[in-house]
Amino acid sequence: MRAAASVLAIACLTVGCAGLPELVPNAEPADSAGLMARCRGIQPHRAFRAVHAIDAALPMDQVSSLIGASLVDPEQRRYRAVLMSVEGLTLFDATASPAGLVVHRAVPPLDDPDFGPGLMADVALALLPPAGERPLVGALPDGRSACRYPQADGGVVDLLPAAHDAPTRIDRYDQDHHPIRRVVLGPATGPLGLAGRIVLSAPGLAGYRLELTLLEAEAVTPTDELFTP
Amino acid sequence: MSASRASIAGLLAVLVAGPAAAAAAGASGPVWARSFESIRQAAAGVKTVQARFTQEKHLKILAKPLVSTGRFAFSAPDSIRWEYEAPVRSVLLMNRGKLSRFAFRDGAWVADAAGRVEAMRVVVAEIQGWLTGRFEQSKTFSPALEPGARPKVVLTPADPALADFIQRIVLTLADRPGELESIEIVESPSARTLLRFEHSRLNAALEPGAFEPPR
Repeated sequence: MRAAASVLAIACLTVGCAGLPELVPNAEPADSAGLMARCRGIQPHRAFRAVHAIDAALPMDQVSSLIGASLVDPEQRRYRAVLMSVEGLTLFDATASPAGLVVHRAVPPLDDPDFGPGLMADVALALLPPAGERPLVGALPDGRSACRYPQADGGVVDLLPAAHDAPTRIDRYDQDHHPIRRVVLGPATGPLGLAGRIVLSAPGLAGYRLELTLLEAEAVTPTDELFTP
Repeated sequence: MSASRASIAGLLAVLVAGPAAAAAAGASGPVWARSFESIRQAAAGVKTVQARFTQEKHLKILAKPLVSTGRFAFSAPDSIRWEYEAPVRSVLLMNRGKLSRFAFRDGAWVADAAGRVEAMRVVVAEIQGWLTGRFEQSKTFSPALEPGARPKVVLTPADPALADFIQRIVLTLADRPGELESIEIVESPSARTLLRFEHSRLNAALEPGAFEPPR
């Protein structure tokens, strides 16, 4: 029990256990417009493909090195993600779009029904602009500016553009407004503006931490064929 | 040490070391590609092998393959070090039959959970099986030896369910006995992995601790 409390405390330190923080709207429309523009610039709005080295810290002190390839079409809100072992074994391959999730390949134990939706949601949070056209913009209690995107499932996504000494951050809350993911983005690199390093944390006893290092990326014409097996 | 493991490792050595390994085993060109039995015989004189490799991962969503490089070491009868140096540092070890994997992070080597993933164990076990030359006894793959200027051993899944994950594996041998040109693992029409070996050294002294967990 004490160990569980310790893990929870560490998770809280990492991701935060408070509920959804209050967002105080900006008083000046010009400030809001500027902040929205900064939020829109966090993730690419043109289609791209990218390859990341992934260091995963999993429950029970397990770690694993993987390679991820992704194809992202922000305009259509569709994306494909492939997870590979360093040795080249394709462990997971799926496409997500507004029409749903299609798993092309899932090697056990990654064929667990919960794994695919969870992984694809993480990919979307890190690489796609949040769903929703009209965010609320303002300041959080700690003074950081944020764009708040209410989600269809009742959850919330906060985008926090980089501040003076704080990196760009994405916080996701569930429908009960509990924090469920935090993504910290390093400085953008290359013409696409993708973060060179991404750290995604999931709190809780079954929590995990993924560190993604960008290996290569390029713009792409997102044909339908690329999203099929 | 079982005879089968010794045979596995010896055959692997011949495949990676190339013609020198075959020569050391006393094989001749035409005989090398004639049967699986001749492959096993060619491995008899190999004690150690070191080589570099280049791995290409071809995926439909990538415009060009993802290239990884590393080095390979083998010591008879059953110790293997399969080390990736770029773009991700990783070491797969089989030391006297025990499989483990290590990842390099934050300046240190740490045990990697992927070594415990069942799929990894299956793959390594199958690699061992291929390299014993006992292809006909495999319950997983059906083998075919295709002679020619570049002889090939083509392995296809015996279980249709496995074909969902691996459609075929092609070991391409060079025209000289014992020399392996490449290993191709075809997962699907849009996903395959190609491994090429080069700069092999046969029966040279290995670095101390080559098959121990990296530090």
